[in-house]
Amino acid sequence: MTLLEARGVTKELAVAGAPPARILDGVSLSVRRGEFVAITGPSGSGKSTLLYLLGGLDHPTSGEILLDGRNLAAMDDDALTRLRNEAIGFVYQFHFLLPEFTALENVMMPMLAGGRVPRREAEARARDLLGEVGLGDRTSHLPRQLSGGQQQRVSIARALANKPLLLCADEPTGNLDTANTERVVELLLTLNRTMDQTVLIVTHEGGVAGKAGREIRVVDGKVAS
Amino acid sequence: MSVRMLLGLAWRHLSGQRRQSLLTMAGVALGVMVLLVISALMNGLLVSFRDTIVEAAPHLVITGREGGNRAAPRMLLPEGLPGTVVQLADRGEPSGRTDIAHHPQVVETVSRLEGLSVVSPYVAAQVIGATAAETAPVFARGVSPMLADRVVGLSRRIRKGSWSAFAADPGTVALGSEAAKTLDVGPGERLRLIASGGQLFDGRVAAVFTTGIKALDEQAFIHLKIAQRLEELPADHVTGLELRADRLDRVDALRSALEARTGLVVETWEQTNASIFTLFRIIGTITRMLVVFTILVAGFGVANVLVTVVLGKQKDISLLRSIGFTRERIMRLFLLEGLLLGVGGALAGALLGYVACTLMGFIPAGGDNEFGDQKTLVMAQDAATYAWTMLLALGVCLVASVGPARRAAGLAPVEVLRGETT
Repeated sequence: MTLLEARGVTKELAVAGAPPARILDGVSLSVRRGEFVAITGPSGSGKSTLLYLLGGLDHPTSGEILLDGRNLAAMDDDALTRLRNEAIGFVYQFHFLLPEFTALENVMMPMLAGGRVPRREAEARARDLLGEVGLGDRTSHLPRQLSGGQQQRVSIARALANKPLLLCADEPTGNLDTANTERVVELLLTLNRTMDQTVLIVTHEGGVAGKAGREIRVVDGKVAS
Repeated sequence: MSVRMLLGLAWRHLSGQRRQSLLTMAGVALGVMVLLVISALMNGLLVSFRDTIVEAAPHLVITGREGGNRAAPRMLLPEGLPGTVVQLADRGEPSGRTDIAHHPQVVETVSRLEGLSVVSPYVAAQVIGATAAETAPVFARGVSPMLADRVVGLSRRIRKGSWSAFAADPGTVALGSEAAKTLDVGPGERLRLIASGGQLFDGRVAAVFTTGIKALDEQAFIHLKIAQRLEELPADHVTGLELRADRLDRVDALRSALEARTGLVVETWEQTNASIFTLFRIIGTITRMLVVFTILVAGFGVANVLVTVVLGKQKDISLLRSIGFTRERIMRLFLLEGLLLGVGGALAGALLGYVACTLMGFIPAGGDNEFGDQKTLVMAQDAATYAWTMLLALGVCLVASVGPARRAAGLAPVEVLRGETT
């Protein structure tokens, strides 16, 4: 069953004093529910841009992006923001935790931002999620008191907070050592297997891509395979 | 979206810039404090001045319209020359004499109005005062002593002699301290008043009073009948009526009612002293405007802190946007931060202002009032001034945060993320 579909997605970026640069050129793809898909490609190929478009962080210049039947390209900024909160979780290369908040508060943030989950419930779920990523004993630590790998696991827990349809990870291991890379990839794979979590991961590491169920290769703004 | 969460975010952003945030709040606090102190000083000055006037001047004065034609007597020889020559009348010169005829009827009409406590008829006369030592022009006011006292409260302002001695004897004069000084005369001593028509009154000084209002302290109070005789007025003619109202805030309404009923000219105490009140108001406005600028400058500090936060927190803002913060919510977050700085500054400023005003209330003012009513600076503080000063500070802070907040809200998350990743 198709969860995510891109049809002829093109993205151009304005460049001062020059014609707009075409980052993505007519990309079409589809992702089934429960799939673990790696998006790979050389630097500057447009793979991160594709992920941002598929994750509703940006609007395509043309084309359609359907998530669970809803066309992201046609939504205004507010609607897209709400959709991101409800249905999409993000993990970035640089873990992007709010430095002034504890691990627990960081994980609670998407639930509180949505306003649908009562605080007490959000706290309980955040605790559970931190337990699942192996950080049950680090809930009250601030990001700076955690290692890079631990921070990345907190941000995975945060991405899962609102039980997203789609988990988007942008080079989540790009900044980690081998041991932590293993751990994070294993965690994502486990989530995919046990919770049927759909995962889209941008990576240029062959090892990570090899563990994915499917690899979509982007070259020069086009899907190569 | 809970306010608690936004507050939490705002609070931690500001605590992250603790020193700058505190300095900014100190700037706002200083502006608020200075504005409060200046307001209290200006109002205090106005209040003490107004109290003096309200206490010693009638609340309303009724005079007739253009009437008789009587010129004031003039000194013909320069001061200092031996002897005195006085021109008692100059019938050729027109004057604005405006008597009220049949004043008992007017008094009756006026007394029927609600809200007036005293109606006191008076006759004003420009006379020459002569004592054994000195001769000088004096403004004489003929009154019914008991009524007049209830209007201007002179019996409480007696420095020498007694008001009751004056009230009991029509042959006496209650003299203002300035006039007493000019004429070099004291209680028990003789004083001759010469009117413009040549009428004489030989009286004795029964009391000397000081009100603090120079115009009053230069006057000589005599009995109404004596003044009528000096001015050659019939018994039912007076210059005007002085009135005291039950409530000061009703004075303007009373004025209209009185004018409508009597057809005479009615002036309120505020109109009589309009020029000085206007002056107070202008000085007050200028001073306050200067201080408002201080608060505006403090607003730049707020904008500065917030720009720093917005620039330093681009990653956090992008993240918040990506996990579901709408532009509006980001905007609200930074407006809230500006407001927090404002609230902190305004509260601290109000507290400092209160302490400063209270302490300044103990500073000796070197008052000119010999009755010692005003030994220290009068600091008039009121809740409304605190409220509008604090609101002003909050408003400035809020406006100052609009720019940074818009900038934060306009941030495209992808641009920041793209810059961070490859």
